[in-house]
Amino acid sequence: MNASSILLVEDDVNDVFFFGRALKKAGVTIPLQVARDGREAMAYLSGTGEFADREKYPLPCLIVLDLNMPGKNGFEVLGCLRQTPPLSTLPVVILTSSQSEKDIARARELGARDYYVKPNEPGRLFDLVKLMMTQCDGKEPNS
Amino acid sequence: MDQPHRDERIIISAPIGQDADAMAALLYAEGFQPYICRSATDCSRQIAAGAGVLLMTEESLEPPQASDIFEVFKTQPSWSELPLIILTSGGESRLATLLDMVATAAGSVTLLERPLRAQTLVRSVEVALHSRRRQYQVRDLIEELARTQEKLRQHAVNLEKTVAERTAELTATVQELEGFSYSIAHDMRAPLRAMLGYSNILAEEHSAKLDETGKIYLERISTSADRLDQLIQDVLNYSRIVRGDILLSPVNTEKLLREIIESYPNLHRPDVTIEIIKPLPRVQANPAALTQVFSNLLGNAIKFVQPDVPPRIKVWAEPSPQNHSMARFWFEDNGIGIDESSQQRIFQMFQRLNRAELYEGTGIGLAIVRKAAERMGGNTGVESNRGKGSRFWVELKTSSA
Repeated sequence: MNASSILLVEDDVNDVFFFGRALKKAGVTIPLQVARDGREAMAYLSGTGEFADREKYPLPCLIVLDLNMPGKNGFEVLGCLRQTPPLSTLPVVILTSSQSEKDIARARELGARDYYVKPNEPGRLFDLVKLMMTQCDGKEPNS
Repeated sequence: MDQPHRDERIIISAPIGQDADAMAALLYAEGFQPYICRSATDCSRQIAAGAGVLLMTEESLEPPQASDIFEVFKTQPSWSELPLIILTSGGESRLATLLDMVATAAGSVTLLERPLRAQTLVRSVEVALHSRRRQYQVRDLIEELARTQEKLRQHAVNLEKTVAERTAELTATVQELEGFSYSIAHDMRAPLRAMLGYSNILAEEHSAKLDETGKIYLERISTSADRLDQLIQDVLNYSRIVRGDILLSPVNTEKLLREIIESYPNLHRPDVTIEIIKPLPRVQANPAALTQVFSNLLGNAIKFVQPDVPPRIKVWAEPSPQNHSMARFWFEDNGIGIDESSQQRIFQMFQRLNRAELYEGTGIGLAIVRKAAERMGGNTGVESNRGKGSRFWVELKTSSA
């Protein structure tokens, strides 16, 4: 089991930067793949178009999903994943700026494993990344 | 024939045609409007259509025809008492019998004895009609009153409709504005997070390249961004309390307080003493909103102390003095206290009593406390003196569950 990845679904370039940096600091060697919105995430996960190359774009062991994105938002991605059998078992954690109880409940309902609010300090993000990686280690996709 | 015309009619009920014709001719000549009925049925109908005076001969009073007429009398509207003039030729006992007969039905009765002088008849009809006109005045007043009432009712209905429409418009506008400010506040946090993040990285990884002044400036960027973020978060929290669904459920307040103290590093600083006097009652509350209330009160209690004074907070509960289904939670501190004149102001948005360098804050915390308490059906207040600490209280419905 060599080819795996972490898929970050995030439209904010700064948040992508902070996340990548936190991964590196945490010593995570699994390559980070980034989808810039929900549509791209679904294309990646279902392997359509350029994403058909699984060598280059392996299925992730963890999906880190933002909720508030243009086009297809995080909830829609969760809904799609749920209805797509081979993808429905992939662990998804939410990393968003929304603290709304409604959003938290809805994300849980749609099968998100964990829900994290984007922290202000990079140090806190580092702690969160380590927590998230336990999901990845615990259950890797059998490809 | 129109109504005013009918109102003045003198209805003559006389089975003997000659009598009736003679009276009608006489009255007509005097300027009245006589109308002759030959049967009791016709008479009833004419009275119902409109009559000023009813003139009956004794003969037409014989039952059963007369009973129809009396029935019409009985069903008059409240303002109406149709004057009745009866022509009789009988003696004392006859008069008494007649009076008995009509008394139950008609209110205003004049008995004229035959043989009759023309002048007596005319005079009596005149008097009767005069009294009838007074009744019409009352009728017109009643009708006018009813019309006015109807108009008023209509106005009230319209007013209610207008108020409801305006309220709906206003509510929609307010909601739109609230939604707008919520979105703005929310979206402002993303660039702010970037500013905080990059200055943090700069300070951590690139500080070697900065001189002392540069480091201070960087520190100030962070502090300002932090303060702005706190402000935005407080606005968002307030907005959530105002706008959001506040569903109530039984809450274990002892457990909630313990969790709050555990999760806020400031609240378990070594110099801070928080004494909770148990038992605390369970309440009907929204856990998220109540968390805001308790954590803001505790946060204020440890923030607003004289420098170098270790904060001491005491929390206890008692039944509300006004309402025994409510519990009053007290938060007593040893802080700087609040002037009596400022005590109501502090619960309003953006009201700060102290300079920001001394005590940081956004001026929203207690506004959240009050709004949250109100939205959970409770209330909040404070007792304090400058320099002698404060005792804030929150009242909430107790829960039996």
